[in-house]
Amino acid sequence: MPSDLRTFLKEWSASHPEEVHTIGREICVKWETTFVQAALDKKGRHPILIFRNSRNFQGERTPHPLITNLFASRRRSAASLGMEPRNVAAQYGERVAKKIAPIVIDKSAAPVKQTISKGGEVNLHRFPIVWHHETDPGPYITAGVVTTVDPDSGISNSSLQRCWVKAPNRTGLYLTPTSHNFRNMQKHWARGEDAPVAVWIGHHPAALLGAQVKVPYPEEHFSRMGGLLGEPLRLVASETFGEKLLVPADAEVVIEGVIPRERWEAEGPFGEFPRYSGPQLPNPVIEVSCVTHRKDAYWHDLSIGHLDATIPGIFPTEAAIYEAIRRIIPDVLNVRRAPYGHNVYVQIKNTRPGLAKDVILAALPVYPLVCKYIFVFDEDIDIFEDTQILWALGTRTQLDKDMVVVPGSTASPLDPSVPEYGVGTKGGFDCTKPAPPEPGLPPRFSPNLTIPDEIGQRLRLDDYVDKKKLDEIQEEEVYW
Amino acid sequence: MSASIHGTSDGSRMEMNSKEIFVTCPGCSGYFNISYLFFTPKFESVKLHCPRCGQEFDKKDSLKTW
Repeated sequence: MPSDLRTFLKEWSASHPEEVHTIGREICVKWETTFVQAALDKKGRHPILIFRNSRNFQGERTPHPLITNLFASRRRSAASLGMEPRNVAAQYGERVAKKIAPIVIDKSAAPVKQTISKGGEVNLHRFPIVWHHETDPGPYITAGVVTTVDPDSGISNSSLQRCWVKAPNRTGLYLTPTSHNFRNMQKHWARGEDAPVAVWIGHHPAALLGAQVKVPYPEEHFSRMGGLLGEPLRLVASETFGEKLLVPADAEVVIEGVIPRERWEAEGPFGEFPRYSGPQLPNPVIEVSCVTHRKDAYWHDLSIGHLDATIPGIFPTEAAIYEAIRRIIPDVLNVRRAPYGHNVYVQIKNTRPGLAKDVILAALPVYPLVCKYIFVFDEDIDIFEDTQILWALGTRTQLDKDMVVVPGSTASPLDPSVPEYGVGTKGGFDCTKPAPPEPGLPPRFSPNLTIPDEIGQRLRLDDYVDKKKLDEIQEEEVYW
Repeated sequence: MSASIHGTSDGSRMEMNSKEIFVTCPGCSGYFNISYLFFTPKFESVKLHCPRCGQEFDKKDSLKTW
């Protein structure tokens, strides 16, 4: 059986039943589902949520279940790829490097063709498309992978992009000028044509994460998705454009249409992943010509501004930065991109003066819209522990010599501090101790506090402190 | 971004050095943030859309712009 959203849900429900919550109580997708997710985030609990009795933003009952929070757990997201949550940077790159070519199947065998609506039959409001935050202008497709085609080569490009559902058959489309989908769109427009587009929703987490892999232009993402899935992705011809625009056969929903030439409309404001409501922008639109879906299709939503929406961007970034640094600096050990902001933490074995600065300069241009501040740490700092990160920042840096500042760099339009659209100041912090004067010697720096290993092997805490009484103490923030 | 000058709803000129500008809907008086791109020649004629009441309006009709 080919991998898809359903095979993942079945496997995960069997192995981790406590992490899949099916909710029968009625709920409206306008702000109410976001409230549930935000409350869970505060509790540090990140189950998959399946709302089976939801109403759309107009208060109408929808026949489709809403699935969300799929990516809210780093551990679960890594496991969906067969990876360790703290070792994605190294493992992800290896997997996507092994491309597996997709296969094209007949429409009759494609689950996503079970129901087909064309022209006047198209009604996006039948799906529980979530209206996330108070400042948003309406419901947004947030887990939609937008696929366009380069008209010169015929090669497709896929990427997660947000789409504001403006009408039953029309959406806004947020495209940054640096994206390959934007480039494809402009090439069609330069020929005097509308740009063909498909937005597909709901698939195995590995397929969605594969669509986020940074590839050269033009190169399609379907082989990378196959690399992460470990099997060929099944594709099928679109209804509107035939084999010129292929779409995943095992998706839950596919929306087809065109991006009309040189039509710009207001889009946003929209609450984005940095947890701010970004400004309204002039953006293109999609005129929807056809919607195909499974009869009982799930509607997948990424809860933007919450943990659920961070992982699809985090994993590819960590892998790309790790690979870029490793090419020139073999002493890189690990990379973590923090959720929400634009901070990246790199752990190295500091072997020589200047190494940490080289790391900063190598990492900054890798994902220019994402990497704003690069923090470089020694191997004794756990870059997944924020307390240790702040300790090293506060005790191993002197700003006049350890800070790198690069003004006038490419920057994220979603960063509210950036003064000009797409241009801002970036940089990094060398939070390492000085490199050892020669191999085998410690650095000229105050040693860390330690207790001999032998003590930890010989003594047990429970022999000295009453465990039952200890467990009754109110939990506090954990320092390492 | 170096500071630039844009016209506002009351006919005055305003210096802007931010990529975000706030406008006020003439329909519901609600305010919201827009990109400075709406003030550039390419997108000058694109109508704004109030996220609160849905009204489309020209930025010159904004009740207050800052």
